[in-house]
Amino acid sequence: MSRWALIWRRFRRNKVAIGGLIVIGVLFVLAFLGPLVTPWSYEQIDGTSFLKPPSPKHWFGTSQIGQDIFAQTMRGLQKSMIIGLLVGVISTSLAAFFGATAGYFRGTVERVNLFVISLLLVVPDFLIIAIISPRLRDSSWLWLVLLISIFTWMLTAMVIYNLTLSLKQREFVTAARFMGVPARQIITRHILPNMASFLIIDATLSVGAAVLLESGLSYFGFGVQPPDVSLGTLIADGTGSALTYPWVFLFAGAFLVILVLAVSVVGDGLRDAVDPQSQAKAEL
Amino acid sequence: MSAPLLSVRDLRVTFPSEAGAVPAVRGVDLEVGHGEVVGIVGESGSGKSTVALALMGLLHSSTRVEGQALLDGEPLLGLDDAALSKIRGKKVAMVFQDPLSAFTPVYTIGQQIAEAITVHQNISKSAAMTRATELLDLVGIPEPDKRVRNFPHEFSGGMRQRAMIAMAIANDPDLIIADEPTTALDVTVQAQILDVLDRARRESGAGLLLITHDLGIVAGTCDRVAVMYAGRIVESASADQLYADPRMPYTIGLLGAVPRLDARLGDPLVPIEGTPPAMTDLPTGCAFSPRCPLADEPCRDNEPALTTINGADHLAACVHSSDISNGTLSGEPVFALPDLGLRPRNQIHRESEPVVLDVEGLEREYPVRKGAVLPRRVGTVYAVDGVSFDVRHGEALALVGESGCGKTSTITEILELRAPKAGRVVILGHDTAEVGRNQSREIRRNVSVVFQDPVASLDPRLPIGDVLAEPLITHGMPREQRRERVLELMRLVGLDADQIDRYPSEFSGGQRQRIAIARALALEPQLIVLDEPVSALDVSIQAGILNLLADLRARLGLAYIIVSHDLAVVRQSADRVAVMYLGRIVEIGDTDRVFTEPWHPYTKALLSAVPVPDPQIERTRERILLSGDLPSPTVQHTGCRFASRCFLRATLPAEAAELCTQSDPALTSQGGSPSTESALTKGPKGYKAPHAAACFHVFSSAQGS
Repeated sequence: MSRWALIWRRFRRNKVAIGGLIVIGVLFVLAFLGPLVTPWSYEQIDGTSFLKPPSPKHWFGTSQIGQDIFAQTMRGLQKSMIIGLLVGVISTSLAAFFGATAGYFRGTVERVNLFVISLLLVVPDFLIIAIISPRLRDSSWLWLVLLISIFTWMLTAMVIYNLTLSLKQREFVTAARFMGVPARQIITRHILPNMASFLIIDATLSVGAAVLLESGLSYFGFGVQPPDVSLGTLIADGTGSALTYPWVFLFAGAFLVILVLAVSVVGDGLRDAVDPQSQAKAEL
Repeated sequence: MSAPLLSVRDLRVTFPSEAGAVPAVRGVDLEVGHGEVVGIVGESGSGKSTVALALMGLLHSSTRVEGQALLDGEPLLGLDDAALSKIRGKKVAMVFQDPLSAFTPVYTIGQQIAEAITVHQNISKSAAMTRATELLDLVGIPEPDKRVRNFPHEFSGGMRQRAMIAMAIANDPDLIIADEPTTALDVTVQAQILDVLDRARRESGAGLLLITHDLGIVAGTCDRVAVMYAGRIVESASADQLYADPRMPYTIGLLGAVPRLDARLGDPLVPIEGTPPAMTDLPTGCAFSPRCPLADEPCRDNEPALTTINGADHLAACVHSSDISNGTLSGEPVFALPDLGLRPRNQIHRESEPVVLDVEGLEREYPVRKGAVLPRRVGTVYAVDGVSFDVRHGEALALVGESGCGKTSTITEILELRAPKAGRVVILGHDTAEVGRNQSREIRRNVSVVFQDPVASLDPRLPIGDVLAEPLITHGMPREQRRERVLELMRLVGLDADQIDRYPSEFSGGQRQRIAIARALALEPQLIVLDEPVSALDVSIQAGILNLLADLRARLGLAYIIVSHDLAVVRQSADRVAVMYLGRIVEIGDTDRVFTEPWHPYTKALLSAVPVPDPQIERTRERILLSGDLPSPTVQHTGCRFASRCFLRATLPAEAAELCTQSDPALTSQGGSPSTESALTKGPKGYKAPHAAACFHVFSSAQGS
């Protein structure tokens, strides 16, 4: 049985993590099927009900201008889940690539990578995104994912760089090198898996961070633009009336919390599955 | 014997742990008389150090310590810290294994010794400093009046341990407890320290409790020996009795498992099957029974008590102890000797075998840099400075030497497969200065490595099936064949096929080293480089690995380069040996010749420093004690590197001694001692001869004496 099969088997034993995975699956299904079962669309305005609490007609209530909160939350969930999960994966992968190659190859690669990292660290990311995003307004909002990813991986990359420097000194890396294992394989088979705990935690954290960063951008009008919505924009809109008309904000907030929790539970499970020292051992 | 100095009755120590209570010490009785040396021997985890820590009251407060310990009739256990502080350092002193962490780095050695004195004696600071200087002189530190003002990091390991001993005897203690005092040190320094420890003991008249894993050290220094296994003393006797007539199978196994300098190549070691039990999950009955070849029903039912055997002083905890004599039970050896099929190789055959590796004049240096902001080169470490040797098909060459002699640098430089700074490395007919990518793959396929530390050399995140498959994947074996080969490899090194999905951390040290060896064998290499393959392992485990290596070599026709600091290991596993000192080979030759008739003074000193696990031999043989430590490798020498510590040179007339410092002796067998003179010794290159040494005077003096 190879490493990945073994990791999957260990992961499956973790009931909480499997639960988390199921929750994420359910959220996906909900986000994409939900809009089909409700008669309202997220743009549609119901002129007869403004700021109405949840009712059989509007399941999650309505907003200030009579939009159906359920339809909006589902639409927002679609966006935010995709943004969050993609950013988590992309920014951690970028960090892993730049950090590990810099630490492993040293020399020119190291200097170039570290320069790129430092450059992106000093450039004010919010400003750049603000400048670029109006130009992307007409193209796919997936560009936003890329843009957020590009500005969130550098600190992680520095940590990975340093971890790689010390892992490279370890004997099992030397052993692999003397065995003739190519550098690419040493990085993917030995170095990155040995910092998997860190990578996984970082990825799960950046899922939540990306959703919030996107909402921040949207709040200033750079991210997802109205009439389109995301969980972030919904929360931003709803916070003002959180105490008086809680449903406007509560459902979006709850879905965000559920999403981030589920992702981090899955991340924990994955971390335990890849770490042989963990408690995810076979039961007798 | 009058009332003993230290008397321990039924000492029990239990540690709390997640996995339940760990009974680390389970009822130890011990006595140390005035001026007596008692050794406690055992493998890691046997509880020997815990005994010492419990006696000194140094265990964590969550540990449960029961039993009774009397020092001069006064109870020692259960005292509070204030009461213990009056005893520690004054009546009982301790020497620890790691002398670096035993000193505070921010005070000078003198201040620390003086503090130890002023804490217990009412004398002035300056008087204490004077006493500290005297003590340093006593333990043989040169220029003690200057050295007393040095900080710990300015001392070498051996000097720190000397200073530690000076501190221990500062208050004329009644009892010195030395916990693995020489384990961190090189063998020539170890001999010095044992000598100092003995002198210090005689000077202060103290009793000495020596805790060690090394049966050789015990043989030479101890009056009485207690062998510990799984938290209990399983045998205790006078040193002579214990070595001559062990009665407990574990002791017999341990003695048979130690590689010995006076053995020969191919003499098999006696491995003890299995591993020590987990202390949280001890078997009922004798703790050794799962590994014992004699174990039967009574052994598994009850744990045998330590009982006397035909004499008051010999105690053993074994049901069979009265039937065992001379390591045999009714004529049959307790541990069957495996036949390894390894015979000493014939020199004439050697010449006709193909050369696997040829190294000529290899050099390697490291820059010494200073400054964090603007690093600049302030010097050079001449790690490898002109090393030449060759390895033939099916041959085992050992590189031996103390730490810092450049043996590991030599092999890493070879394994890098790049053009060396100077010299030539030819592996399997390829010069490393000229190899391209494809050739280097070809070489990697035929040369593999086993590292010292099996914990570090296996990726903790890979199940061992993948660990073993890695070289196969790298060199393009199709998937279908891989699994088959991995299983075959596991069988070859004695692992169960159903362990294939486990991670390295689930294996014991010995098993991990087997995995590392299996990985090295995966591609059927011609040459395996073994970097200290057994030094991280316990004696009983080590024997199994050495036997495995010998067996594999005999069966598969492998060539080995064995890097080791342990001459006894080399003696029993290598055909040829190269003795290294400060980046040079000072003597090379067939193991038998070098060990029975060493030429170079350094080799002689090295061999005489290795303790033999036999009290008779240990007491009678002559020792050569080298003075001082290894010189700094940052200095480039014009003459012989060993000149500063050479005892032979000290006996030479002035002009002959001058030669040593002025010119550099080459490796040669010229002249030779009369008995080895033959046509073969006049080979074209000194290092290919059956025996060669780099010394100007050894041949003349050998002939003279």
